[in-house]
Amino acid sequence: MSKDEILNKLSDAVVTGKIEQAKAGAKEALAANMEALTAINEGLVKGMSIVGDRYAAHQVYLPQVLMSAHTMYAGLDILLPAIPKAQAENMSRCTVAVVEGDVHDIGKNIVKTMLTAGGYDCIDLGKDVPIEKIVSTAEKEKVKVVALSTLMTPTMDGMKDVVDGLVESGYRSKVKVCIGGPPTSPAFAKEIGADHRDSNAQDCVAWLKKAV
Amino acid sequence: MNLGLGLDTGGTYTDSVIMDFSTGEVLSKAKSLTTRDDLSIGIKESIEKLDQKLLDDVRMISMSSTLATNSIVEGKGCSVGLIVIGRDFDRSIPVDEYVRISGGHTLSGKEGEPLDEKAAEEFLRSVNGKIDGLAIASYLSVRNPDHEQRVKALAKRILDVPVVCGHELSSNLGFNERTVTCIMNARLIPIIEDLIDSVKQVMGDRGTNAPLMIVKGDGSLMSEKIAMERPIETILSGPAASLIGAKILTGKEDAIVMDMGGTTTDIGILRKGNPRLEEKGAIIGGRRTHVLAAEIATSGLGGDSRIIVNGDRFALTALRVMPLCIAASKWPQLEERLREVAERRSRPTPESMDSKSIVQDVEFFIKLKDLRGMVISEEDRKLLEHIRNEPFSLKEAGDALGIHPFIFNITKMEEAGIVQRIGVTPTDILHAEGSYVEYNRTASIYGVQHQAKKLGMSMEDFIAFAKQEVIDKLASELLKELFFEETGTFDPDTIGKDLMTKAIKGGFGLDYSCKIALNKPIIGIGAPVSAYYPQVAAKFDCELILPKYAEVGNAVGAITGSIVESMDILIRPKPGENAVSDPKCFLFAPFGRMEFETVSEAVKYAEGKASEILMELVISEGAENPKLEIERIDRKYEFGSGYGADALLETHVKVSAVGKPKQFRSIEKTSYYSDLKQAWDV
Repeated sequence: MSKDEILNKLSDAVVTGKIEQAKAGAKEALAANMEALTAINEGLVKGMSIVGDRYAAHQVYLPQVLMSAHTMYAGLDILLPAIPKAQAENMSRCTVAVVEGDVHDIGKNIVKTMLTAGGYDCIDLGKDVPIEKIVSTAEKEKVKVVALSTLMTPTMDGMKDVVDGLVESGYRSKVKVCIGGPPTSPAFAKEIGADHRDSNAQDCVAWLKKAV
Repeated sequence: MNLGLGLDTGGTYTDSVIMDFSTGEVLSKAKSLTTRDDLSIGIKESIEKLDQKLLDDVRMISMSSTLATNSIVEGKGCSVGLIVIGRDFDRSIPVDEYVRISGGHTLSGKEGEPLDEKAAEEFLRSVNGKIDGLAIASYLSVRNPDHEQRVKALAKRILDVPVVCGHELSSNLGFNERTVTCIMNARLIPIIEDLIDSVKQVMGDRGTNAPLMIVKGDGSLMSEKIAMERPIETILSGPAASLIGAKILTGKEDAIVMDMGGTTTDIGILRKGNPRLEEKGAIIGGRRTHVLAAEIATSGLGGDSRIIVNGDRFALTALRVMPLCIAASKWPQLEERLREVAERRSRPTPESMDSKSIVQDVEFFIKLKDLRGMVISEEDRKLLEHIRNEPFSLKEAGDALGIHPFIFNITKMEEAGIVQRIGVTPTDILHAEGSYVEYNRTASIYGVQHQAKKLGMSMEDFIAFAKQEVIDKLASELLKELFFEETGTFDPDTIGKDLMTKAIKGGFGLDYSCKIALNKPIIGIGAPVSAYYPQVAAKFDCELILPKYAEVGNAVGAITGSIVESMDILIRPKPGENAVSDPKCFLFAPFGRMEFETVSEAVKYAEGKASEILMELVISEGAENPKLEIERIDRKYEFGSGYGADALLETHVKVSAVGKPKQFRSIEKTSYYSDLKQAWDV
């Protein structure tokens, strides 16, 4: 198989949500001595971008996006360990979390997928994450982006706590803070001192590409 | 008579005024050179030049200062210990003794980990006798000062040195900035003590023992007692005093204040009668601190800025040199040598591309002090010997010593403060013109004649040209500052630059010109203001006010400020309570962290307690009939579309006690934070 064929196989696997095809494609890419990063960026990530676009354009449903994400991760599991160490260190790191008190993580998972597709090495802290843990992870892992999500109104002010914690630790100036979730708004982001609020993952990654 | 004595120790001059409080009239004013090694000498000289008969009636002394910041940044001076709790300090400024112990709090003010008092005690015993001051900084102490207070109590038992905690100096988040502020503060305590002692001694020698007030970075006053606890707040007080002085002398509440001194020009803005403050905290020695100070744009253009002609190029540089006119009053032989330089026919002199090392016939050097362990070349040693008692130009010295002038490493020695450069400055331009004459005018004329000749100009043309350069530079610095204020950036794009140039230089390009108008007057402070400011104001179509005592505006500001003490208390709803009306909440204040059933209860408590603490404090500092200013700021947010309601993010209660200093009143010994704790037992 030619290089292009392998890449097409990978992106097609992600678009259609075929996990086995993604795994096979990833192995073929490595067997063909393709660089792991190329296989990720021009194969898996390209597929995920297509899905992201379609979701944003209301052409596919959320479960399809989640299936595609699942597929991408299956491929990544094989390709990520093959990235040479020096290259891996060059990837920008980010951390994503649903703030303390909230367990709704679908939105967070989509953002994580799109950030990974956008070339970020994502540290997923999961849901109901204590504020102090988000703050300390950001600093310890030297992330460039902290992405926070919540679906509920009572947990929104936890986002302000994260920003406050970053100011106290001195890491605030080194990181972009993005927030999302239905009850949040750009005005809220400004009020709490976050950098950005977006209503879909695709646009947020596009914003980050310009801002970081 | 009811008089006040105002003092300002600036980078170049120490100014003093005696003002009549009842009429607002300046009765006597004086200026002397600031003596950086020992400020008291300059202060003494300045006071001696005042009308001595008036000193008996002085009821209050107030001082502002631009203290040398190098010592605190470089870690010179006294020896400081630092205890950090719950987090490492980034060591961005040096400390002499350091320990990190466990402890610290969370964002909601709960104990993050228990305080290791044993480790604190061990450290305190080990540094006993080794340090002159102690700084204590705990992680999130602004949300709960408990750990800092406990370590402070321990330190007070073991050590006999000043102890300062982070939460006493700032209510803002930012552990590193707070720690830096705390260390600098500890380092400054002996310096401010010396300064206060020397002023009191100078006044005491004259039989006056009126109370001494110190100006803070925001232009308000504090008593000497509090200044010795929180000296960091006084460090940038000079520019703030200028702004207050400008307000008093003109009665204007909104204005742009330009203060041209010997070394720099400071531009500040008065809004509603108050100096506009640096919101994020002042930067001292390149480090962000939590010090509240007037935001001042400083540019390296002053009366002592160096003017050179390099080949056929004119340059106005930021380097500060001693003006020829002043040097020639000190060393009269310079006048004759300058005459010779001015009268001889222009002939090639060795020059250089690098403007600092360029040899100018009208630039002289005098040795200032001995080498302190600095290694220099044999030639430089000979040069220093040659210029020990009398200034010579590099060419003169080179000819006498048989060494080519380029061999000398003059810039290195200048930067180390071993030699002083003497040369043509804007002050000489004004002397040569005759518009401002205080020193040896003839020397200035010769110097300017020589430079003019090099450019093929008449002296009159050269003076006009040089003045225009100064005016354009002032205008451009002013515009930059105003642009920054409006846009938050210093980065003009190509079009912006073009518009700026047109607004400053005037005239049309191909098709258009540009005029920028200011909506408030410019107040000119500092000497000599009338030479440049009228043309700067004319460029921007605004009123120019040159108050009568413009040259001592800073000292006037020092004596006319009010005593102000403020407290910022944060009230935050408990998690999940934000959308409830009048929710359960936490209160975070310098006096501790508390919990309340409703925000309105918390606000009421905060207002009452802060008022009581602050009133007691300003009265102890000597304020007369102080008034309270209470401001409640509710920060609310709306939910995203479809949710409708809004919620409370947090409430700030800002309380200030403000009063004019009562004159000639003995000041009781009280300490804000120690008494605070006893009075309130929190």
